[in-house]
Amino acid sequence: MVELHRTPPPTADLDLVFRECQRDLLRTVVPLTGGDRAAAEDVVAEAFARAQREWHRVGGYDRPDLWLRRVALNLAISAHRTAVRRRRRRLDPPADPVLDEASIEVLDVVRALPERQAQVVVLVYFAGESVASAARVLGIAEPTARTHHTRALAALATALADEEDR
Amino acid sequence: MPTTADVEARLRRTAAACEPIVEDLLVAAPPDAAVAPAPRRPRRTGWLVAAALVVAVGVAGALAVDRDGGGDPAGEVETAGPAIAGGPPPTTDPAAANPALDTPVTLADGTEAVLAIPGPERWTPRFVEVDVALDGVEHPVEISLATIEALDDPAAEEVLSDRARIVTLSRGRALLVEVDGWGAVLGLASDGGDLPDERVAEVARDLTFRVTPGGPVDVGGAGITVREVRTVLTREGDTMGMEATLTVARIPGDPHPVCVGTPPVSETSRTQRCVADDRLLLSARGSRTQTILPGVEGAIGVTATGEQHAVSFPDGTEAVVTIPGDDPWPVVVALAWVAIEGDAERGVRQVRLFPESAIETAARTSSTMEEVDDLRWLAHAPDGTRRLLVQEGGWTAELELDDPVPLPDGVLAGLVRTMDLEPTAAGPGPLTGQGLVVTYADVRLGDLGDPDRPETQDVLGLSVDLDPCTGSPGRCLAGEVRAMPFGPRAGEVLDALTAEVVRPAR
Repeated sequence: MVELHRTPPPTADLDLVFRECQRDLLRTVVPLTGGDRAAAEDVVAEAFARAQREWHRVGGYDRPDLWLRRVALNLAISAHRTAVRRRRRRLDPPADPVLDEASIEVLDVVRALPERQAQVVVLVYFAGESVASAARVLGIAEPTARTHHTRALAALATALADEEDR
Repeated sequence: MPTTADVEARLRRTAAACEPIVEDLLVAAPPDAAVAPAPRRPRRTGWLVAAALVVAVGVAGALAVDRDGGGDPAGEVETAGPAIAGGPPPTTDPAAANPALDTPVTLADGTEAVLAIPGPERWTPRFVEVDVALDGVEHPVEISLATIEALDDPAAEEVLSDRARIVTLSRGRALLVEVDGWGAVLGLASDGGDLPDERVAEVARDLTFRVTPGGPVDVGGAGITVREVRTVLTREGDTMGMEATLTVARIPGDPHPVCVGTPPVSETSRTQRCVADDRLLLSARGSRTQTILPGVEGAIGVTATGEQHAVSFPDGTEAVVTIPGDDPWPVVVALAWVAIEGDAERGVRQVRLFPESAIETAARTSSTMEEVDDLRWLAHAPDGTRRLLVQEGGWTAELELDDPVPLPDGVLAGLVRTMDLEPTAAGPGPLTGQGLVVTYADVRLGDLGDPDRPETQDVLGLSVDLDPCTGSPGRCLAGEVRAMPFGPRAGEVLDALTAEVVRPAR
């Protein structure tokens, strides 16, 4: 009839968890927002706000930092796609670029990857994680992460070659 | 074609280029950490009760001052303090320093909302964005409404009528429809490309809105369906460009705006929470505006159709739930988790409550039935376990006494003598007994379907917990009351149902 899932009470301190993982968190969010500071800041704030709301549950996890990073990754991908849609539809100009052209080009092709591939790429190359630890952050099996990693590199090679040809 | 090594090298160079941004954004404290939510204000219950169905609104705070990416976002978070810029100086009690001011707003679709936004400033509508669907145009288009002054004297390219013209704005060609000093601007391109000329002419002819002191309302017209309305508020006397946006979104096919929590119904919502007993979607964008987000309270009312269903829970809670549509939603079963004094071994036990006599059924599955009195039976199963059954007013309560640890004899004796319930037409009513405390109550409304085919179940579960509802899974209705859908019909009504709840004194 009714399943009651009683989560252990929070044992971790949210502020402490945030402080300890915010650098890793930003290293994945910043590239996924194309270096847009305001958007990255929004994503981090939103991830933190969600953690606050869910801390009664998340705070009891063994690794609440992984939950926070996963939420931020998903939000960053979602924010990017929303921004693209809105930019197409609205009369607003895009935000001023803050990165060099080559970096923007790379970030654009990374963000055009399928969601999981993009997440694995930023975790491995921007946050300095191994593929195995990227899998832990994303909550997926390591072989799955390796597959995403391999496919992502192949797709990036093709996309960057296309960019060079233009 | 670059090699894998080339690709990896470029990724690492790009990562290095991003690092200064990461460093800039590192903050000493988490966002909003310095800002405690304002104390909850008394609910405007009279106003809300009058509304048969209360729906959703979003508040998106937009930070105009740092839109271009300039400034120091990290410093912004650290120094934003408990109040928005220009407000009172930070104190150790931000909630006390920021009494909320009510901000009544009539949104462009006619929805009325009252927001209590922390801080001493008043907020007034400045401009409105409306996403509309146009018949014959595949993608939704956006219409912006602002005062003609704010539109910066757009030059007319082509006059279509005495109130409509094609203009050139800094961001491109647009259709401008003017009413009483306000202009509705429709960009002449959508996701699908430029709007056909004939459609532009139709919109110019058909687009209607009224201008009130609170801004333009009732945007619409033949072939124009409003999907989302964003009313941008600005603080009176603001020199910092602070903005907040109220958003009403509608799910296609649903005539009423709904608060659906996450994922956001609004593309503009990045940070959001439901307030006013889950009836109001509050969202913000930009760290400064997010500092006031925790303290904003709101209420919104829209009259809609729906059937009222009284529900009485096993813990004594009484609720009147308004469910859209006129389908019957009878109480089909209830469940209570109980703690029993002296039952330290087990802690929590389950009591099932059925709106029928279960004695005959129990007799068929038991080796013996022991009648305690007119109301109570002890059913002994072949495996030696026992159940206490109480039948009262057409309802049967069933408590497993040996699941998994036998109830101590002294406790059992007291319970067998005293366990009772007080059914009403609205459900099983409060479950009582010597030393018995209901810690969690669950009532199912609807149709349990074929027990052998779970997919036929279409049930709305309502539960009451001792802890406040947190919104997931399901949806919080009021305080500690949560709604969970099981089946398509229940899922359809979940977002729009409301409840007025009275909890028993504890």
